[in-house]
Amino acid sequence: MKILVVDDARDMQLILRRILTLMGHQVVLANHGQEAWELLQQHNFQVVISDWVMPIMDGPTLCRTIRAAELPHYVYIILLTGMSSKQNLILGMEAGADDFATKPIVREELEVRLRAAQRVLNLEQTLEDKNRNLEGVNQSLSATQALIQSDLKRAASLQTGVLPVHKAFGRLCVDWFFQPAQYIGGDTFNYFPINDDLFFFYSIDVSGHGISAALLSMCLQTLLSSTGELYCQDELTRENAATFPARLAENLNHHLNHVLDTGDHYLTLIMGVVDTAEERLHFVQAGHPQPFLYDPSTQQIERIDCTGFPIGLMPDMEYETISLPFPTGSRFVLYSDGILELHHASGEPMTEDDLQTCLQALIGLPARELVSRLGEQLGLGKENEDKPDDISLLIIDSCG
Amino acid sequence: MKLSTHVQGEFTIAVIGETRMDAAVAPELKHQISQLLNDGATRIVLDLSAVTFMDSSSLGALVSLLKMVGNRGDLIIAGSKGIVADLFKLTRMDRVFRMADSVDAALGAVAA
Repeated sequence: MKILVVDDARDMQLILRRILTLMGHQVVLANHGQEAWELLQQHNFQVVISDWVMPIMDGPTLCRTIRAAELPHYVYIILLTGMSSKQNLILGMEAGADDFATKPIVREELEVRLRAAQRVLNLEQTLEDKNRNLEGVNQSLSATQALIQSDLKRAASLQTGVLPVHKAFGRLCVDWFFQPAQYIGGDTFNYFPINDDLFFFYSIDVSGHGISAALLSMCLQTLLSSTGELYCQDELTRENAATFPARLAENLNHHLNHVLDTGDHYLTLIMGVVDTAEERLHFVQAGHPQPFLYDPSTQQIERIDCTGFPIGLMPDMEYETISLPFPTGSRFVLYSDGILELHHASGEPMTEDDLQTCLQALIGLPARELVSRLGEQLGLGKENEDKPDDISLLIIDSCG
Repeated sequence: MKLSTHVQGEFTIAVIGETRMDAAVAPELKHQISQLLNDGATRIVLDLSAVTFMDSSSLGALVSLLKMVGNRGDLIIAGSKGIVADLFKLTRMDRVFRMADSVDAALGAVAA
């Protein structure tokens, strides 16, 4: 080892140098703490053996100086103490000394102390290597994490990009609100006209959150689009509109249970069709929150009491189509359960009844304004607020 | 996830000690109950009376456990109430699972 001996007594310096050189160590001498500190800044010493009392800078001060400097490598410090004057060893420890040796120097004792020093220095070295390695791993993890985060942000805007843009279709006016929980989410919806009379729509909530839920929701967008495999099996016409939603749900359930491996994911949905010529609404309920329907004759918005098996949870389930009148002035409101995980300012959870009250109070507003007002009332769209789940809301008005 | 289990006759009663069963709890729930099944329990009563919120991922976990039990035993849901009971109704899972108002009712119903 490379050892720095610090002592103001020349004889002590020489004794130590002889003993240590015989043990095979490299030795450099310093006359006091200050001189030692200057040498330490220029050279790499593994061990310092220092006298306690010295002019200019004493041993404990040298210890503190070394420890405060945070040198790139650990320096093991042995303080020398006189037999007669038992200095305060605790004081030495607190200054940063690792060990003590008593004067006069006994060769064997010093050898034992230096072996202990070697052991500690080896451990320090191993620890330093491991830390450096961990730091490297940590850096590459952070870089990967940053890449994933930016990817997710881009994915979120792309996911929003598949949502429908048009909001007026002849007699129907549509609007929506969408907010994923964590960059990307499992909620999705779509709507499009089939012909002049029929208007197809759905609102989907894939269970769970995150990347796989979002990919499944994108997958469903493709499956349910007009060119999709499921949809083409069976063309939607005015004649079959009253049975079509349930059959499509059964097809989709079969597909998710037998063809697509969805892992632990399944989905709830409401999917249906508005027949504007007949002024009727046909839809299937698959475990989605119960939708609201405004009846212009009673001027009341009511929750439609309906239940149904989620899609992709269990095979071979039966679904039924619910058919209701949808005259001019009607409003149909679909939403995902993310809204019901929100809380009022008071901390009370939001309920279906609260949502119904809000919708009833804002019934006079057109869909577009309703969405923004409801957003304000429910505290939606606030940046930097941690939303527990995806939130989506779809409003279909028969404007006449 | 907090889960305490005890054996009563041929039944294993598993009491959920959480008030929220959400995506954070679902994997652990699935793991712990499937462990009970692997350890030989075939008739399980899951006591949900402490649970005040359940999300879709926990419901999914329960269904996959029900599939694991298959025809070899029972997975009875006991004590669901409020929005937890509503979720079972909304998704018609109250028709798929054996449901009981309480653990006692579950044991009584099966014994009868």
